[in-house]
Amino acid sequence: MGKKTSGRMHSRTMMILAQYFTNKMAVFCASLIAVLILMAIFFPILSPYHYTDVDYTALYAKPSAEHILGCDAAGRDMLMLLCYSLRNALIVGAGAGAVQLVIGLVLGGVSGYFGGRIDNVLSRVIDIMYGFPTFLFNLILVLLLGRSLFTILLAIGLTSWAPMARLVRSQVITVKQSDYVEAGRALGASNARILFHYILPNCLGPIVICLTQGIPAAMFAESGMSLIGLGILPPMPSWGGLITTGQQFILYYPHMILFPALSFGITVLAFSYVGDGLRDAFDPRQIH
Amino acid sequence: MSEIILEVRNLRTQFKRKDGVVKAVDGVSYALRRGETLAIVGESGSGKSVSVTSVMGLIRTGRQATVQGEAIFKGQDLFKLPGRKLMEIRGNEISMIFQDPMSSLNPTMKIGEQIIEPLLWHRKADRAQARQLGLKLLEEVGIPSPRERFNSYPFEFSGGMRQRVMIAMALASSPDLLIADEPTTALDVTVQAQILGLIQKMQQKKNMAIILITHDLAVASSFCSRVIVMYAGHVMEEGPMSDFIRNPVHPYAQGLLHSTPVLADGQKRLEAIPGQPPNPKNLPQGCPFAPRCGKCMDICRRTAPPVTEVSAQHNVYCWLCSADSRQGKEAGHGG
Amino acid sequence: MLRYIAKRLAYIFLAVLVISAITFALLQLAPGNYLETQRLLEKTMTDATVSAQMKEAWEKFYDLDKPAVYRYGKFLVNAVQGKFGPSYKYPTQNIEDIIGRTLPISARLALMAITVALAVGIPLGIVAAVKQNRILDRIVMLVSMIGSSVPAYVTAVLLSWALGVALHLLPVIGWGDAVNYVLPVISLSLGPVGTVTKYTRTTLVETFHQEYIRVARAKGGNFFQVTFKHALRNSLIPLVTVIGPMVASLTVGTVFVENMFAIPGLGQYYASAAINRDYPMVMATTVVFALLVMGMNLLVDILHAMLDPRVKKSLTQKGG
Repeated sequence: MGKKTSGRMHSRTMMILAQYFTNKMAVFCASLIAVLILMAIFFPILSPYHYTDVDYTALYAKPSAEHILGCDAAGRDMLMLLCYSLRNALIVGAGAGAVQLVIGLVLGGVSGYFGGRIDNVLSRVIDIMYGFPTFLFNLILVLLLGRSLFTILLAIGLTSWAPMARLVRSQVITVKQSDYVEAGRALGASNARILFHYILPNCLGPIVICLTQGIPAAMFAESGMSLIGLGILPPMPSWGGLITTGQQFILYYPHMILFPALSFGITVLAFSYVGDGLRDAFDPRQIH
Repeated sequence: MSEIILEVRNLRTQFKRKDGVVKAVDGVSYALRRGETLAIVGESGSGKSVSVTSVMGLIRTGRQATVQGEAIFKGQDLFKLPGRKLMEIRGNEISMIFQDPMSSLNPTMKIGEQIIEPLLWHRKADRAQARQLGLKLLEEVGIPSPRERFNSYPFEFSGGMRQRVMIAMALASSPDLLIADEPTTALDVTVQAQILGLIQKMQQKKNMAIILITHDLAVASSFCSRVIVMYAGHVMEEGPMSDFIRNPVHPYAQGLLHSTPVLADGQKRLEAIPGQPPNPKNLPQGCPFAPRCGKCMDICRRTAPPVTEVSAQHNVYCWLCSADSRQGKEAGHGG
Repeated sequence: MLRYIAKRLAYIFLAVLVISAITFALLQLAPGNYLETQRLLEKTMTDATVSAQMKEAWEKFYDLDKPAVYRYGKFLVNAVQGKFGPSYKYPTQNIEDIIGRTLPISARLALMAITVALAVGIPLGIVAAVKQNRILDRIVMLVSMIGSSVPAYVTAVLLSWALGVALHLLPVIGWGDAVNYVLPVISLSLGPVGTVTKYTRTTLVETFHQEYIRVARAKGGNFFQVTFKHALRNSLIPLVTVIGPMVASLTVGTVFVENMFAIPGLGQYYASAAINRDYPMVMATTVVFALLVMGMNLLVDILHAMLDPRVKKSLTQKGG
């Protein structure tokens, strides 16, 4: 029975992928993200510089052959700083996304599947979550949990799961009426098995899209916190921190803020295009 | 006989798709007189809807769609008119009713407003007068309590009621020609009869010319005096309704009539026409019906048949008739 | 309809209650307190300066010697009356006064950003939809994509560099004159402009495919009548629902923009309160922001119902 559902998915996946590939911009951005991920992984290993390397001879250095993107106030190589920031942002984005996914799947899935009073209560919870001033809560949670990468992504994930939960809930409600779910129940499958093996795999589309939107949002949140001063503990680099420090030197050393701002913008933009491309690919009206 | 108000000559409408050119309408010609009721009958995909939307100028021509031929309405070729002039005729002298009353009305606008729009847009009345006319129209098409309903929204009406609203909207400016594209297909059978009756009543009252598009011969024969049978973008047969029903000449038309269930006739078996309509991107060279025709000859596959006059006003596009009439003439039997 | 509004207001009240309770609880658990952070920040002070007596007096002033439940209860009682008491950082001022001073400024900024977003985004979206898939459409969509993806502070920085520093066109710092509003509002509104443009274009393109648009054209409507009277009406109604989440993200945006341009708005206090462990301030701003966001959502829903006759019908039927 499991094979049957995944068999149906297989050809659908092919169709969706084919549709996605017709969108040139989305494909370009997806490959850009792949490149960025590779850079984030390998560059710190391969670079001759480390983020704790302070070079007093190269304070505020403008871009040159030695330092392609220049240096910061402590003489640290900008390219290396950006790669580390990218790495941290990706970790936070993916991690927060994972947290959102887990909480959203469980709460949304249970709420949508069981309906009735459980649904009422959990829906209220989700609604209240929507009203939370998430950013403030990130700050408070970080105060509580500490300022490491893990705690930051946990904090962000814990405050932003509401859209995912709501989406999962509505998807589950729609799908649980389907015939194959009836069939599974007739075979005696348990509730958990039905939820996780039958229903959720068929809701994948919108869930993936929500995830790709959640990752840049998490990156925003993380850099926002660094901007205010509650982000990752220095000397670990982060985009928000780079932008804050760079802001002070905007008049004399514009490269200190331009490169971080541009690279951040481009990364988030790439994620947005990928998200849009995915949304179009999954849209049943577009599939010929 | 009244004057001819619409003459369509050699209408061709093509759509460019990624994998080929779709010849939706491929050489259709007919004439319509004032006050005449014409039915265009055909299967889905025969091009009947496209032919009238082309005449109305509702097809977005450009890279992807081309419309050729002539559509002469009251002496002017609609295809050669500038956009503005065409807009003045649409909704004013020529009105159209569409198939699905659910989606044909703007859900966020009161129906009263939608009905009087043609009057306001074509500056035929000011708002107060238009409202009066609108109320009268609602009454005429059989909508109870018109004064309250004038301010209602489409979702507050049933399907049949909405189609009545559509009819009121189309009749608002007293057009000379009303085109009804499958007006009853989306409705229940009982409501169908009511709507057809309403259209007929309005036609008689205002002496409008009507083009009724349908796939259902029974609907067509209910009040139309002339009929055109279309297949794969071509006209197969045209003529007076009474003649046609008694004596269909084209094999396709015969097939259509035989496949229409008639309750009174006892338990006769339904005869379906074997085969499928052709792929519009890949039309056969000769007569488009050739692949499915039981009486197909060699020449049918090679060349498109010419028009043959079977009797007064009754034309058919078929090699069979052309051959017969030639034979008949040769044998001196006249025809 | 009224019953619906009453129900929603009750839910908002409940939600704010829950939010304030959770915030309070979390703040109790957070390590470090105000005095310590201040001592860390103000390195000139030594232990001896903050003597035990002063500490005791300070704690008494803020009821810190009483149990947490008492403090929370007192907070609630006061909050309902609109009073939040003195903040840690500014013991001479009541927080409600601070909020009274700063909230209008932030609100004004946000409102201007929304206005700009609608005034610019809707026409752009219309242009993109009408010229669908042609060059103009692609340019507009690219710009709106950039606007909605790049965060407010990044664009604020780039804009202030380009317009303020490099070209000396606009002031980067300072507050009071109309011209000071320009850069902050532009930075704040870029995201919303992008969102509104994208949304308008999408809904308009969808609407154009609807049957009733073809009917309107068949009635002889010209471009303006069809687009503005028929299509836009259907597209703009769902746009209203986008404004709700936009307000929520604007509240975050104002934090950064005010920080960057040194604007005395509530956003500045919001952020520094958390860092400084100024607990009363944190509680107050949390409640205020939560109320604002949920209140806006309710307003938006009411507006939506008033504009869309179908929604209005279902709401009035349910409530009665």
